[in-house]
Amino acid sequence: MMKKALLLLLVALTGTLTLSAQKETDFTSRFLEQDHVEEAVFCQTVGPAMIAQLVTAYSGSLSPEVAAQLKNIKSMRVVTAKGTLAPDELLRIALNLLQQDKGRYTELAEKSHYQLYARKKKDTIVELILIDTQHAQFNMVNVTGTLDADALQQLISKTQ
Amino acid sequence: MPTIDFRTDLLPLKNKLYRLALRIVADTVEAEDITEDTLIRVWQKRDELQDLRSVEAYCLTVCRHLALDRKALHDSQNASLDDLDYDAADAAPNPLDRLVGTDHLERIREIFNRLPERQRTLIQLRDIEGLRHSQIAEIMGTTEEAVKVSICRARQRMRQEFEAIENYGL
Amino acid sequence: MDYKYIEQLLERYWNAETTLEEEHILRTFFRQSDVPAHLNRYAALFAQLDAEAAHELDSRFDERVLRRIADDERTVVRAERPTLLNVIRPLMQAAAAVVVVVLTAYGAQRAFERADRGVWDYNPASFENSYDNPQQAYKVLQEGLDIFSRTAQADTARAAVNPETEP
Repeated sequence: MMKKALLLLLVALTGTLTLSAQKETDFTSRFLEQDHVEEAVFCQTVGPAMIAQLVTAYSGSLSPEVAAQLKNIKSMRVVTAKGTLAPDELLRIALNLLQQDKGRYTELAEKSHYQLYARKKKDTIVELILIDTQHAQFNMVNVTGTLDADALQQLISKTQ
Repeated sequence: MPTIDFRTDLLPLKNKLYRLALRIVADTVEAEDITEDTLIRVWQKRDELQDLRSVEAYCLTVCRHLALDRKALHDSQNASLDDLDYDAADAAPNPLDRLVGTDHLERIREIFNRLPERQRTLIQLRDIEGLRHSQIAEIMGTTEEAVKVSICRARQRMRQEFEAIENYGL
Repeated sequence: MDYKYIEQLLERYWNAETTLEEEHILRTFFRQSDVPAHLNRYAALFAQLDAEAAHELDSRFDERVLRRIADDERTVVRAERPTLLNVIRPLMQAAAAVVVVVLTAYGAQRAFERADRGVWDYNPASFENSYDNPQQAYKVLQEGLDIFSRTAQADTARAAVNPETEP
Protein backbone atom coordinates (compact mmCIF):
# COMPACT_ATOMS: atom_id res chain seq x y z
CA MET A 1 0.00 0.00 0.00
CA MET A 2 2.90 2.29 0.79
CA LYS A 3 4.43 1.24 -2.47
CA LYS A 4 1.34 2.46 -4.30
CA ALA A 5 1.54 5.84 -2.60
CA LEU A 6 5.16 6.13 -3.59
CA LEU A 7 4.41 5.07 -7.14
CA LEU A 8 1.77 7.78 -7.35
CA LEU A 9 4.29 10.27 -6.05
CA LEU A 10 6.70 9.12 -8.72
CA VAL A 11 4.13 9.57 -11.48
CA ALA A 12 3.26 13.01 -10.18
CA LEU A 13 6.89 14.02 -10.00
CA THR A 14 7.67 12.78 -13.48
CA GLY A 15 4.60 14.54 -14.75
CA THR A 16 5.66 17.76 -13.08
CA LEU A 17 9.13 17.52 -14.53
CA THR A 18 7.88 17.11 -18.06
CA LEU A 19 5.22 19.74 -17.60
CA SER A 20 7.70 22.32 -16.47
CA ALA A 21 9.64 22.05 -19.69
CA GLN A 22 7.07 21.26 -22.39
CA LYS A 23 3.56 22.48 -22.30
CA GLU A 24 2.02 22.24 -25.75
CA THR A 25 -0.72 19.84 -26.71
CA ASP A 26 -1.57 18.73 -30.19
CA PHE A 27 -4.53 19.78 -32.29
CA THR A 28 -6.48 16.63 -31.54
CA SER A 29 -6.53 17.45 -27.82
CA ARG A 30 -8.17 20.76 -28.55
CA PHE A 31 -10.50 19.20 -31.11
CA LEU A 32 -11.74 16.62 -28.62
CA GLU A 33 -12.54 19.37 -26.16
CA GLN A 34 -15.14 20.87 -28.47
CA ASP A 35 -18.75 20.15 -27.59
CA HIS A 36 -19.92 16.65 -28.54
CA VAL A 37 -16.79 15.83 -30.48
CA GLU A 38 -15.28 13.34 -28.08
CA GLU A 39 -18.31 11.08 -28.20
CA ALA A 40 -18.55 11.42 -31.95
CA VAL A 41 -15.13 10.07 -32.91
CA PHE A 42 -12.73 7.21 -32.42
CA CYS A 43 -9.27 8.42 -31.54
CA GLN A 44 -6.26 6.12 -31.69
CA THR A 45 -3.12 7.51 -30.13
CA VAL A 46 0.48 6.46 -30.48
CA GLY A 47 2.63 8.51 -28.14
CA PRO A 48 6.38 9.14 -28.05
CA ALA A 49 7.16 6.22 -25.77
CA MET A 50 5.21 3.82 -27.97
CA ILE A 51 6.87 5.12 -31.13
CA ALA A 52 10.21 4.32 -29.54
CA GLN A 53 8.97 0.85 -28.61
CA LEU A 54 7.71 0.35 -32.12
CA VAL A 55 11.03 1.26 -33.67
CA THR A 56 12.77 -1.24 -31.44
CA ALA A 57 10.22 -3.96 -31.98
CA TYR A 58 10.24 -3.63 -35.75
CA SER A 59 13.86 -2.62 -36.16
CA GLY A 60 14.60 -5.31 -38.69
CA SER A 61 11.46 -5.27 -40.72
CA LEU A 62 10.56 -1.67 -41.48
CA SER A 63 10.89 -0.37 -45.02
CA PRO A 64 13.58 2.32 -45.31
CA GLU A 65 10.97 5.00 -46.04
CA VAL A 66 8.87 4.20 -43.00
CA ALA A 67 11.98 3.88 -40.86
CA ALA A 68 13.12 7.30 -41.99
CA GLN A 69 9.71 8.80 -41.35
CA LEU A 70 9.56 7.32 -37.87
CA LYS A 71 12.75 9.09 -37.00
CA ASN A 72 10.96 12.38 -37.32
CA ILE A 73 7.65 11.45 -35.82
CA LYS A 74 7.05 11.83 -32.10
CA SER A 75 3.35 11.08 -32.04
CA MET A 76 0.50 10.12 -34.27
CA ARG A 77 -3.20 10.20 -33.73
CA VAL A 78 -5.80 8.87 -36.13
CA VAL A 79 -9.29 10.23 -35.65
CA THR A 80 -12.30 8.75 -37.43
CA ALA A 81 -15.98 9.64 -37.24
CA LYS A 82 -18.32 7.30 -35.36
CA GLY A 83 -21.41 8.63 -37.03
CA THR A 84 -23.15 10.59 -34.29
CA LEU A 85 -21.94 13.85 -35.78
CA ALA A 86 -21.97 14.33 -39.55
CA PRO A 87 -18.53 14.35 -41.22
CA ASP A 88 -19.36 17.80 -42.58
CA GLU A 89 -19.99 19.05 -39.10
CA LEU A 90 -16.74 17.57 -37.80
CA LEU A 91 -14.89 19.19 -40.66
CA ARG A 92 -16.50 22.52 -39.91
CA ILE A 93 -15.51 22.33 -36.25
CA ALA A 94 -11.96 21.30 -37.12
CA LEU A 95 -11.45 24.02 -39.71
CA ASN A 96 -12.89 26.57 -37.35
CA LEU A 97 -10.38 25.61 -34.71
CA LEU A 98 -7.51 25.58 -37.17
CA GLN A 99 -8.31 28.97 -38.60
CA GLN A 100 -9.23 30.65 -35.33
CA ASP A 101 -5.70 30.95 -34.08
CA LYS A 102 -4.09 32.56 -37.08
CA GLY A 103 -0.59 32.57 -35.72
CA ARG A 104 -0.62 28.95 -34.73
CA TYR A 105 -1.54 26.88 -37.75
CA THR A 106 -0.45 27.42 -41.33
CA GLU A 107 -2.49 26.17 -44.20
CA LEU A 108 -0.42 23.98 -46.47
CA ALA A 109 -3.12 22.67 -48.76
CA GLU A 110 -6.86 23.06 -49.05
CA LYS A 111 -8.40 20.77 -51.58
CA SER A 112 -11.85 19.42 -52.15
CA HIS A 113 -11.00 16.09 -50.65
CA TYR A 114 -8.38 16.95 -48.08
CA GLN A 115 -7.05 19.72 -45.88
CA LEU A 116 -3.48 19.96 -44.68
CA TYR A 117 -2.38 22.30 -41.95
CA ALA A 118 0.87 22.63 -40.06
CA ARG A 119 2.27 24.20 -36.94
CA LYS A 120 5.72 25.58 -37.46
CA LYS A 121 8.45 26.66 -35.12
CA LYS A 122 10.98 28.75 -37.00
CA ASP A 123 11.43 26.67 -40.12
CA THR A 124 10.65 23.30 -38.65
CA ILE A 125 7.24 21.75 -38.84
CA VAL A 126 6.37 20.36 -35.42
CA GLU A 127 2.83 19.34 -36.16
CA LEU A 128 0.83 18.23 -39.18
CA ILE A 129 -2.93 17.97 -39.37
CA LEU A 130 -4.33 16.15 -42.36
CA ILE A 131 -8.09 15.79 -42.81
CA ASP A 132 -9.35 13.36 -45.42
CA THR A 133 -12.92 14.04 -46.48
CA GLN A 134 -13.23 11.66 -49.40
CA HIS A 135 -16.32 9.46 -49.73
CA ALA A 136 -18.26 11.68 -47.32
CA GLN A 137 -16.10 10.61 -44.38
CA PHE A 138 -14.05 12.35 -41.76
CA ASN A 139 -10.57 10.92 -41.19
CA MET A 140 -7.90 12.94 -39.52
CA VAL A 141 -4.22 12.24 -38.95
CA ASN A 142 -2.43 14.41 -36.44
CA VAL A 143 1.32 13.97 -36.38
CA THR A 144 3.79 15.77 -34.17
CA GLY A 145 7.54 15.62 -34.52
CA THR A 146 10.33 17.53 -36.13
CA LEU A 147 9.95 17.69 -39.87
CA ASP A 148 12.18 19.70 -42.08
CA ALA A 149 11.47 20.27 -45.76
CA ASP A 150 12.76 16.86 -46.81
CA ALA A 151 10.85 15.00 -44.17
CA LEU A 152 7.70 16.85 -45.10
CA GLN A 153 8.28 16.07 -48.73
CA GLN A 154 8.55 12.40 -47.89
CA LEU A 155 5.25 12.40 -46.07
CA ILE A 156 3.17 14.33 -48.52
CA SER A 157 4.50 13.38 -51.88
CA LYS A 158 5.22 10.22 -53.74
CA THR A 159 8.74 10.32 -54.99
CA GLN A 160 8.06 7.93 -57.83
CA MET B 1 5.27 -7.24 -3.21
CA PRO B 2 4.35 -7.55 0.46
CA THR B 3 4.63 -11.08 1.74
CA ILE B 4 1.77 -12.42 3.79
CA ASP B 5 2.48 -13.15 7.40
CA PHE B 6 0.24 -15.78 8.93
CA ARG B 7 0.02 -14.33 12.41
CA THR B 8 -0.55 -10.72 11.48
CA ASP B 9 -2.46 -11.02 8.20
CA LEU B 10 -4.47 -14.23 8.26
CA LEU B 11 -5.04 -15.29 11.83
CA PRO B 12 -6.88 -12.09 12.80
CA LEU B 13 -9.55 -12.95 10.22
CA LYS B 14 -10.44 -16.16 12.04
CA ASN B 15 -13.53 -14.84 13.80
CA LYS B 16 -15.07 -13.33 10.68
CA LEU B 17 -14.47 -16.57 8.84
CA TYR B 18 -15.86 -18.60 11.74
CA ARG B 19 -19.05 -16.58 11.91
CA LEU B 20 -19.62 -16.86 8.18
CA ALA B 21 -19.01 -20.59 8.22
CA LEU B 22 -21.30 -20.94 11.22
CA ARG B 23 -23.99 -18.95 9.41
CA ILE B 24 -23.90 -21.44 6.58
CA VAL B 25 -23.39 -24.81 8.24
CA ALA B 26 -25.04 -24.05 11.59
CA ASP B 27 -22.64 -26.33 13.47
CA THR B 28 -19.81 -25.03 15.65
CA VAL B 29 -17.45 -27.95 15.16
CA GLU B 30 -17.89 -27.92 11.39
CA ALA B 31 -17.50 -24.15 11.35
CA GLU B 32 -14.21 -24.41 13.22
CA ASP B 33 -12.92 -26.99 10.77
CA ILE B 34 -13.91 -24.85 7.84
CA THR B 35 -12.19 -21.83 9.35
CA GLU B 36 -9.03 -23.83 9.84
CA ASP B 37 -9.16 -25.22 6.31
CA THR B 38 -9.72 -21.78 4.86
CA LEU B 39 -6.72 -20.32 6.62
CA ILE B 40 -4.49 -23.19 5.60
CA ARG B 41 -5.64 -23.07 2.02
CA VAL B 42 -5.07 -19.31 1.71
CA TRP B 43 -1.69 -19.66 3.42
CA GLN B 44 -0.65 -22.26 0.89
CA LYS B 45 -1.60 -19.90 -1.91
CA ARG B 46 -0.02 -16.83 -0.36
CA ASP B 47 2.47 -16.30 -3.15
CA GLU B 48 -0.36 -15.83 -5.63
CA LEU B 49 -2.04 -13.06 -3.69
CA GLN B 50 -0.72 -9.76 -4.98
CA ASP B 51 -2.67 -7.11 -3.19
CA LEU B 52 -2.97 -7.33 0.57
CA ARG B 53 -6.16 -5.35 0.56
CA SER B 54 -8.11 -8.15 -1.06
CA VAL B 55 -6.89 -10.87 1.30
CA GLU B 56 -9.94 -10.47 3.54
CA ALA B 57 -12.36 -10.72 0.63
CA TYR B 58 -10.45 -13.68 -0.77
CA CYS B 59 -10.52 -15.49 2.58
CA LEU B 60 -14.24 -14.92 2.95
CA THR B 61 -14.83 -16.20 -0.57
CA VAL B 62 -12.82 -19.35 0.06
CA CYS B 63 -14.59 -19.83 3.39
CA ARG B 64 -17.99 -19.48 1.83
CA HIS B 65 -17.23 -22.05 -0.85
CA LEU B 66 -15.82 -24.53 1.62
CA ALA B 67 -18.85 -24.05 3.87
CA LEU B 68 -21.28 -24.49 0.99
CA ASP B 69 -19.48 -27.66 -0.07
CA ARG B 70 -19.69 -29.05 3.44
CA LYS B 71 -23.32 -28.12 3.66
CA ALA B 72 -24.14 -29.78 0.34
CA LEU B 73 -22.43 -32.87 1.59
CA HIS B 74 -24.55 -33.02 4.71
CA ASP B 75 -27.80 -31.84 3.33
CA SER B 76 -30.32 -34.58 2.83
CA GLN B 77 -32.78 -32.17 1.35
CA ASN B 78 -32.90 -30.77 -2.19
CA ALA B 79 -31.86 -27.33 -1.04
CA SER B 80 -31.23 -24.98 -3.93
CA LEU B 81 -28.37 -22.52 -3.56
CA ASP B 82 -30.08 -19.97 -5.79
CA ASP B 83 -31.46 -16.81 -4.34
CA LEU B 84 -35.07 -17.99 -4.60
CA ASP B 85 -37.55 -16.48 -2.27
CA TYR B 86 -38.95 -19.67 -0.83
CA ASP B 87 -39.37 -20.93 2.67
CA ALA B 88 -36.52 -23.26 3.55
CA ALA B 89 -38.17 -26.48 4.61
CA ASP B 90 -36.11 -26.71 7.76
CA ALA B 91 -38.20 -24.98 10.39
CA ALA B 92 -37.06 -27.37 13.10
CA PRO B 93 -34.80 -26.00 15.83
CA ASN B 94 -31.21 -26.17 14.67
CA PRO B 95 -27.99 -26.53 16.68
CA LEU B 96 -27.45 -22.77 16.60
CA ASP B 97 -30.28 -22.44 19.06
CA ARG B 98 -28.30 -24.31 21.66
CA LEU B 99 -25.91 -21.42 21.68
CA VAL B 100 -26.48 -18.10 23.38
CA GLY B 101 -30.07 -16.99 23.41
CA THR B 102 -33.15 -16.06 25.22
CA ASP B 103 -36.62 -16.98 24.07
CA HIS B 104 -36.98 -13.54 22.68
CA LEU B 105 -33.86 -13.58 20.59
CA GLU B 106 -34.48 -17.15 19.60
CA ARG B 107 -37.48 -16.18 17.53
CA ILE B 108 -35.41 -13.61 15.66
CA ARG B 109 -32.70 -16.13 15.08
CA GLU B 110 -35.22 -18.54 13.68
CA ILE B 111 -36.39 -15.89 11.24
CA PHE B 112 -32.81 -15.28 10.25
CA ASN B 113 -32.09 -18.95 9.75
CA ARG B 114 -35.13 -19.46 7.62
CA LEU B 115 -33.70 -17.15 4.97
CA PRO B 116 -32.23 -18.84 1.90
CA GLU B 117 -28.47 -19.31 2.28
CA ARG B 118 -27.51 -16.53 -0.06
CA GLN B 119 -29.60 -13.96 1.74
CA ARG B 120 -28.34 -15.18 5.11
CA THR B 121 -24.77 -14.82 3.95
CA LEU B 122 -25.43 -11.32 2.66
CA ILE B 123 -26.97 -10.23 5.95
CA GLN B 124 -24.05 -11.81 7.76
CA LEU B 125 -21.49 -9.99 5.66
CA ARG B 126 -23.30 -6.66 5.77
CA ASP B 127 -25.08 -6.37 9.09
CA ILE B 128 -22.72 -8.41 11.21
CA GLU B 129 -19.33 -8.09 9.59
CA GLY B 130 -19.95 -4.56 8.34
CA LEU B 131 -18.54 -5.02 4.85
CA ARG B 132 -19.20 -2.52 2.06
CA HIS B 133 -21.44 -3.51 -0.83
CA SER B 134 -18.46 -3.54 -3.16
CA GLN B 135 -16.57 -5.95 -0.93
CA ILE B 136 -19.58 -8.21 -0.62
CA ALA B 137 -20.04 -8.19 -4.40
CA GLU B 138 -16.45 -9.33 -4.77
CA ILE B 139 -16.92 -12.16 -2.31
CA MET B 140 -20.19 -13.34 -3.81
CA GLY B 141 -18.93 -12.96 -7.36
CA THR B 142 -21.69 -10.62 -8.41
CA THR B 143 -22.51 -6.94 -8.84
CA GLU B 144 -23.15 -4.31 -6.21
CA GLU B 145 -26.64 -3.87 -7.58
CA ALA B 146 -27.45 -7.54 -7.18
CA VAL B 147 -26.10 -7.42 -3.64
CA LYS B 148 -28.34 -4.48 -2.71
CA VAL B 149 -31.39 -6.10 -4.27
CA SER B 150 -30.82 -9.33 -2.34
CA ILE B 151 -30.17 -7.53 0.91
CA CYS B 152 -33.36 -5.54 0.39
CA ARG B 153 -35.31 -8.75 -0.14
CA ALA B 154 -33.77 -10.35 2.93
CA ARG B 155 -34.49 -7.41 5.18
CA GLN B 156 -38.02 -6.97 3.89
CA ARG B 157 -38.67 -10.62 4.52
CA MET B 158 -37.33 -10.45 8.05
CA ARG B 159 -39.46 -7.40 8.66
CA GLN B 160 -42.57 -9.21 7.44
CA GLU B 161 -41.84 -12.05 9.80
CA PHE B 162 -41.42 -9.70 12.76
CA GLU B 163 -44.70 -8.04 11.96
CA ALA B 164 -46.32 -11.47 11.84
CA ILE B 165 -44.96 -12.36 15.26
CA GLU B 166 -46.02 -9.06 16.74
CA ASN B 167 -49.48 -9.18 15.26
CA TYR B 168 -50.20 -12.71 16.33
CA GLY B 169 -48.41 -12.33 19.63
CA LEU B 170 -46.54 -15.59 19.26
CA MET C 1 -37.43 13.45 20.97
CA ASP C 2 -38.04 13.33 17.24
CA TYR C 3 -38.12 9.80 15.95
CA LYS C 4 -38.82 10.84 12.40
CA TYR C 5 -35.17 10.61 11.47
CA ILE C 6 -34.88 7.09 12.86
CA GLU C 7 -38.08 6.07 11.13
CA GLN C 8 -36.74 7.42 7.85
CA LEU C 9 -33.48 5.57 8.38
CA LEU C 10 -35.42 2.40 9.09
CA GLU C 11 -37.36 2.71 5.84
CA ARG C 12 -34.11 3.13 3.96
CA TYR C 13 -32.66 0.21 5.87
CA TRP C 14 -35.38 -2.17 4.68
CA ASN C 15 -34.70 -1.00 1.14
CA ALA C 16 -30.95 -1.59 1.51
CA GLU C 17 -30.32 2.10 0.87
CA THR C 18 -28.45 2.85 4.07
CA THR C 19 -24.73 3.37 4.35
CA LEU C 20 -22.62 1.58 6.94
CA GLU C 21 -22.59 4.76 9.01
CA GLU C 22 -26.38 5.00 8.97
CA GLU C 23 -26.67 1.36 9.95
CA HIS C 24 -24.33 2.06 12.82
CA ILE C 25 -26.64 4.89 13.92
CA LEU C 26 -29.60 2.53 13.87
CA ARG C 27 -27.80 -0.11 15.88
CA THR C 28 -26.67 2.43 18.45
CA PHE C 29 -30.17 3.85 18.75
CA PHE C 30 -31.73 0.47 19.33
CA ARG C 31 -29.17 -0.46 21.96
CA GLN C 32 -30.63 2.15 24.24
CA SER C 33 -33.04 1.14 26.95
CA ASP C 34 -35.64 3.80 26.23
CA VAL C 35 -36.66 2.86 22.72
CA PRO C 36 -40.26 4.00 22.14
CA ALA C 37 -42.97 1.37 22.03
CA HIS C 38 -43.76 1.60 18.34
CA LEU C 39 -40.15 0.89 17.44
CA ASN C 40 -39.51 -1.70 20.09
CA ARG C 41 -40.06 -4.70 17.88
CA TYR C 42 -37.04 -3.75 15.82
CA ALA C 43 -34.82 -3.52 18.86
CA ALA C 44 -34.76 -7.30 18.95
CA LEU C 45 -33.40 -7.52 15.44
CA PHE C 46 -30.55 -5.17 16.08
CA ALA C 47 -29.83 -6.82 19.39
CA GLN C 48 -29.65 -10.12 17.54
CA LEU C 49 -27.12 -8.69 15.14
CA ASP C 50 -25.01 -7.61 18.10
CA ALA C 51 -25.26 -11.08 19.59
CA GLU C 52 -24.23 -12.73 16.36
CA ALA C 53 -21.18 -10.53 16.13
CA ALA C 54 -20.02 -11.87 19.45
CA HIS C 55 -19.27 -15.43 18.28
CA GLU C 56 -15.58 -15.95 18.50
CA LEU C 57 -12.97 -18.67 18.48
CA ASP C 58 -10.70 -19.20 21.43
CA SER C 59 -6.95 -19.47 21.71
CA ARG C 60 -7.04 -23.25 21.40
CA PHE C 61 -7.97 -22.68 17.79
CA ASP C 62 -4.87 -20.54 17.31
CA GLU C 63 -2.62 -23.26 18.68
CA ARG C 64 -4.24 -25.91 16.54
CA VAL C 65 -3.97 -24.04 13.30
CA LEU C 66 -0.43 -22.82 13.94
CA ARG C 67 0.65 -26.36 14.64
CA ARG C 68 -0.92 -27.45 11.41
CA ILE C 69 0.85 -24.76 9.45
CA ALA C 70 4.15 -25.79 10.96
CA ASP C 71 3.46 -29.43 10.16
CA ASP C 72 2.43 -28.75 6.59
CA GLU C 73 5.22 -26.43 5.77
CA ARG C 74 7.94 -27.77 8.05
CA THR C 75 8.96 -24.18 8.39
CA VAL C 76 8.73 -21.96 11.39
CA VAL C 77 6.04 -19.34 11.03
CA ARG C 78 7.62 -15.96 11.38
CA ALA C 79 6.87 -15.10 14.97
CA GLU C 80 8.46 -11.72 15.17
CA ARG C 81 6.24 -8.70 15.26
CA PRO C 82 6.96 -6.13 12.57
CA THR C 83 9.88 -4.16 13.90
CA LEU C 84 10.50 -0.60 12.88
CA LEU C 85 13.28 -1.78 10.61
CA ASN C 86 11.02 -4.31 8.91
CA VAL C 87 8.62 -1.54 8.09
CA ILE C 88 11.17 1.10 7.16
CA ARG C 89 13.40 -1.10 5.01
CA PRO C 90 10.86 -1.80 2.24
CA LEU C 91 9.82 1.84 2.31
CA MET C 92 13.42 2.92 1.92
CA GLN C 93 13.85 0.53 -0.96
CA ALA C 94 10.73 1.83 -2.61
CA ALA C 95 11.86 5.40 -2.00
CA ALA C 96 15.24 4.62 -3.46
CA ALA C 97 13.51 3.15 -6.49
CA VAL C 98 11.49 6.34 -6.87
CA VAL C 99 14.62 8.48 -6.68
CA VAL C 100 16.35 6.36 -9.32
CA VAL C 101 13.39 6.53 -11.70
CA VAL C 102 12.87 10.24 -11.18
CA LEU C 103 16.55 10.96 -11.80
CA THR C 104 16.52 8.74 -14.85
CA ALA C 105 13.41 10.43 -16.18
CA TYR C 106 14.93 13.81 -15.51
CA GLY C 107 18.18 12.79 -17.15
CA ALA C 108 16.33 11.33 -20.12
CA GLN C 109 14.35 14.49 -20.44
CA ARG C 110 17.43 16.67 -20.47
CA ALA C 111 18.94 14.44 -23.14
CA PHE C 112 15.70 14.62 -25.08
CA GLU C 113 15.65 18.39 -24.90
CA ARG C 114 19.27 18.66 -25.95
CA ALA C 115 18.65 16.49 -28.97
CA ASP C 116 15.70 18.56 -30.09
CA ARG C 117 17.13 21.94 -29.27
CA GLY C 118 13.70 22.41 -27.66
CA VAL C 119 11.89 22.57 -30.98
CA TRP C 120 9.38 19.83 -30.28
CA ASP C 121 7.60 21.45 -27.38
CA TYR C 122 4.73 19.10 -26.73
CA ASN C 123 3.96 17.55 -23.37
CA PRO C 124 4.69 13.83 -23.78
CA ALA C 125 2.26 13.07 -20.98
CA SER C 126 -0.58 14.49 -23.05
CA PHE C 127 -0.39 11.47 -25.37
CA GLU C 128 -2.18 8.57 -23.78
CA ASN C 129 -1.43 5.48 -25.81
CA SER C 130 -4.53 3.71 -27.06
CA TYR C 131 -2.70 0.39 -27.14
CA ASP C 132 -0.02 -1.00 -24.92
CA ASN C 133 1.70 -3.18 -27.51
CA PRO C 134 3.77 -2.17 -30.55
CA GLN C 135 1.85 -4.43 -32.91
CA GLN C 136 -1.39 -2.54 -32.57
CA ALA C 137 0.43 0.77 -32.46
CA TYR C 138 2.04 -0.15 -35.76
CA LYS C 139 -1.39 -0.70 -37.29
CA VAL C 140 -2.36 2.81 -36.25
CA LEU C 141 0.80 4.13 -37.80
CA GLN C 142 0.08 2.30 -41.03
CA GLU C 143 -3.42 3.69 -41.11
CA GLY C 144 -2.12 7.19 -40.59
CA LEU C 145 0.50 6.91 -43.26
CA ASP C 146 -2.11 5.39 -45.52
CA ILE C 147 -4.26 8.49 -45.18
CA PHE C 148 -1.30 10.57 -46.29
CA SER C 149 -0.81 8.21 -49.15
CA ARG C 150 -4.34 8.43 -50.50
CA THR C 151 -4.66 12.18 -50.12
CA ALA C 152 -1.60 14.38 -50.29
CA GLN C 153 0.61 11.81 -51.93
CA ALA C 154 -2.03 10.84 -54.46
CA ASP C 155 -2.36 14.51 -55.23
CA THR C 156 1.32 15.06 -55.88
CA ALA C 157 1.42 11.92 -57.96
CA ARG C 158 -1.37 13.38 -60.06
CA ALA C 159 0.47 16.68 -60.23
CA ALA C 160 3.57 14.92 -61.47
CA VAL C 161 1.50 13.44 -64.27
CA ASN C 162 -0.25 16.75 -65.00
CA PRO C 163 2.41 19.39 -64.51
CA GLU C 164 0.02 22.32 -64.85
CA THR C 165 -1.86 21.42 -61.64
CA GLU C 166 -0.43 22.86 -58.42
CA PRO C 167 0.86 20.11 -56.10
